[in-house]
Amino acid sequence: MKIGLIGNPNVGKSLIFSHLTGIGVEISNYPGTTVDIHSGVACIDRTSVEITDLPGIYSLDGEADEERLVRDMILSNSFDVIVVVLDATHLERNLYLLLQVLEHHIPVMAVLNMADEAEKQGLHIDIKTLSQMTGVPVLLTSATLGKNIAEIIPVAKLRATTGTYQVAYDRHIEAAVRTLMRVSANDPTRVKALLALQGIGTDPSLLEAAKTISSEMDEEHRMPVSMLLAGNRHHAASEIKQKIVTKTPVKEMFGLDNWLLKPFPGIPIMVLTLLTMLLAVFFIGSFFEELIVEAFEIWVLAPLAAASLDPLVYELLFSFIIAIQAGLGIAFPFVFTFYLLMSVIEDTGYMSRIAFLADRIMHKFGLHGQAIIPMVLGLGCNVPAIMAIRQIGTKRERHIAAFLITMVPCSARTVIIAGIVSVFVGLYAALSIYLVILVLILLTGFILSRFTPGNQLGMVLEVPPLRRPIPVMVLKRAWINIREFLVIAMPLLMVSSVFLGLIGFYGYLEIIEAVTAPLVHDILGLPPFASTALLFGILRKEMAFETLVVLAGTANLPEVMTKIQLYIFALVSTLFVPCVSTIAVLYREQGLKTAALISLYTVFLGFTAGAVFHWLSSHGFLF
Amino acid sequence: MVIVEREDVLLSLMRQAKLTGQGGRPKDIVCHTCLSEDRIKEILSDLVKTGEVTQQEDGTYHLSPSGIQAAETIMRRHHVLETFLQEMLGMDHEMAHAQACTMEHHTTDDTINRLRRFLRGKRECPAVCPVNPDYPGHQGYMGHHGRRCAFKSLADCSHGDKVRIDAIRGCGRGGRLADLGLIPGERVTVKRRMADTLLINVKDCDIAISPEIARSVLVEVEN
Repeated sequence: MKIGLIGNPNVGKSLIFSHLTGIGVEISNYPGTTVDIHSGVACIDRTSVEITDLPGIYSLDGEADEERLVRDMILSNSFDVIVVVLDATHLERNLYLLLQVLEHHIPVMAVLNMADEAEKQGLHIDIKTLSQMTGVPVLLTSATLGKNIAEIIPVAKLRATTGTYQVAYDRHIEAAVRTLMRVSANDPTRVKALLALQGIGTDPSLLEAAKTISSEMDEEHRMPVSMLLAGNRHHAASEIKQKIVTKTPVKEMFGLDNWLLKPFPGIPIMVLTLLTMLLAVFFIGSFFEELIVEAFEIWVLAPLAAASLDPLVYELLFSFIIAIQAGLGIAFPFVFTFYLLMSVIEDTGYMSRIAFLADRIMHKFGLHGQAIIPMVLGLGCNVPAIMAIRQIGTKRERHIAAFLITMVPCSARTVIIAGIVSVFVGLYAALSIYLVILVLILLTGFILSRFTPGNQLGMVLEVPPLRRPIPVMVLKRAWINIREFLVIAMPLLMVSSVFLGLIGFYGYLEIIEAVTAPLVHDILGLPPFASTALLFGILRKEMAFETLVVLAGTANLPEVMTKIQLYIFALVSTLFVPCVSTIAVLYREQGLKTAALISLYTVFLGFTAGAVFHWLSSHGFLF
Repeated sequence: MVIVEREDVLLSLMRQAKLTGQGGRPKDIVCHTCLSEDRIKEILSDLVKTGEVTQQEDGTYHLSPSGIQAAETIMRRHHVLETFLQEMLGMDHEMAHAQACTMEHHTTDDTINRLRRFLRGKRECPAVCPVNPDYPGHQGYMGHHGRRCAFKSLADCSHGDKVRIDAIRGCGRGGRLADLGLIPGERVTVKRRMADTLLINVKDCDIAISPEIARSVLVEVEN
């Protein structure tokens, strides 16, 4: 038996899913999209039930990836029962989706989640009446307290039925639906006719007929059919709500939002939160990184060096292990800590408040508030951040966001800045690099927003009430982000590490160095071996640092390079060319052209910035 | 009250003349208005004095040329008001007619002229979405004949305003807005305004919207 969980975003659907399935969840990608579907198996009465957590949606009729996916899955009868999870505190808006699902005539049950919250707000919900009106079983649950969660599957199994409620649409629409059902050859169902009126469906003759009717209705009502339908449904939802929800007034609690959403102190709080988070990641990360790297040195690398293997085999093994060491050294301490903290922020609902506060600033770059989310994610690793661009608006917005995100200094670049600049040059110098990058990001955004073709659409983002984060959900979110790092970035890391090892082994490095050295020396004023280190940085950002140490022959870099050289090296390697993994994801998500354009742009930017600093220092303006 | 009654009597005389081609008796006028026969007689004699009505020997009353002119002015006012109520505000015919009947007496000529200009002028307003002129098939979602241009948009609202959505210009995210409950007729509270970004409350849910989207939502302030 297959059960699909469907509901608005932020209704606690995923938490219910976690409660029902426990561990052993499979995350699959729906073909052609990056929308994740989580499925797991629960065992009830010695039969296994497959449960699928569908992405949160507001409507089944939309054109967004998630909406299309859920609609397709429902239309193709992928589930035996649909469990619609509703937020009891925002019942009216949530009923809208339930009414849509009921139209599909499949076995449905409704779960009113957040019953405890509703009670606190003085809402009393008459679930018996709701059940009578809709014809489907209704269960009142509270996922955070675990109340009634165990009942969901038994009820879904035994009592879920197709609903009896039908939204009374505008008479023109009803007439159109009747006409379409009668005229069309393939005997479309009511829901197919309704969808066809909105231009959705696969039957060309039905769509053709529906198009004629809907354009007529458009003309008559001065409103698109989809809006008419939405209006009727909302009206029905509001009528149902009035019958089943009674509100007893309760004392208004002091809203934290009064502070968080005002320019003051909202914006300082936001900046402070993000800074604290970055610092925490930095300290926790460097502590664990040392542990991991050390462990590798002692337990793996030292025995390997002692094993006296064939040089080629040794080189291969060595590069491979170095890659794993670097990957783990960066992945778990920095990236995972970052995403863990990030998930806490996301789970409380603070992220959408940040989006609200940042909307204005982001508009200056041709983006909107929602785009701040992937940008902040980029501080951990650019790869998941670029994957997250999908969620924001139009092609133009995605294009700009891709540019800016690749410039955001990720954990690996933080390692370079911290390891070279803050250790050997000074903390303020390290911060100044961040400042330079920030200014360049702002400038790039500003210029791109002028020249990128396309329309700006802006954001429509629900701001859910603030909630206490739930550990399970935090871990799950963090895992999803780190998974992208592990699956995409790590394999590339290993391949490129081995590749580099081979190049070094066969002595091609000197050739490359000979070619690039004059350029690096004349423009950036760096020693010849720095060019190799910079090149390595393309494959793995933090490798630029490691290679530099190896090639310099000493860990005490100031012996061989001046402070300004170290500064320029860090700046250039941070700015220029995103790492191979990022380029790969850019190519996959945005296409070859954008990936190439961004790579070229960042090379140009890195060298220009480096050259400017070199010029300034050689003319005595710095230090 | 006197003006209302006088004008009603003038109108009903004109209607009577149009229907039968003859003058009216007080009895006929009772049918058109809700006045008593005595009161009508009083008003009629008053109208005779001011020269808008003449009384014939057979007891019927006729409009004099100046009376016809006065009645026509009222008819015009009625017509303009009724059109406005019906087409612009979307009232049904009977309601619009009844409302126009009471409003016609108190509206100045200046107001009527402005309304007429509004109705005529807006008809020529280009009904193309300002944000996205190439977007096909949504001209005219600005309400009838695109005349909604004159209305306030959500972007013009400030902190704490309670508004009712009038129409949504159908470009871009119209679908998403409708799904979230932003449909014509819905009541919305502006909870916070940060620069031009708005945090609104619809159906008990908070939603953040960018200025360009707020501009596509046309509203009436209710406060």
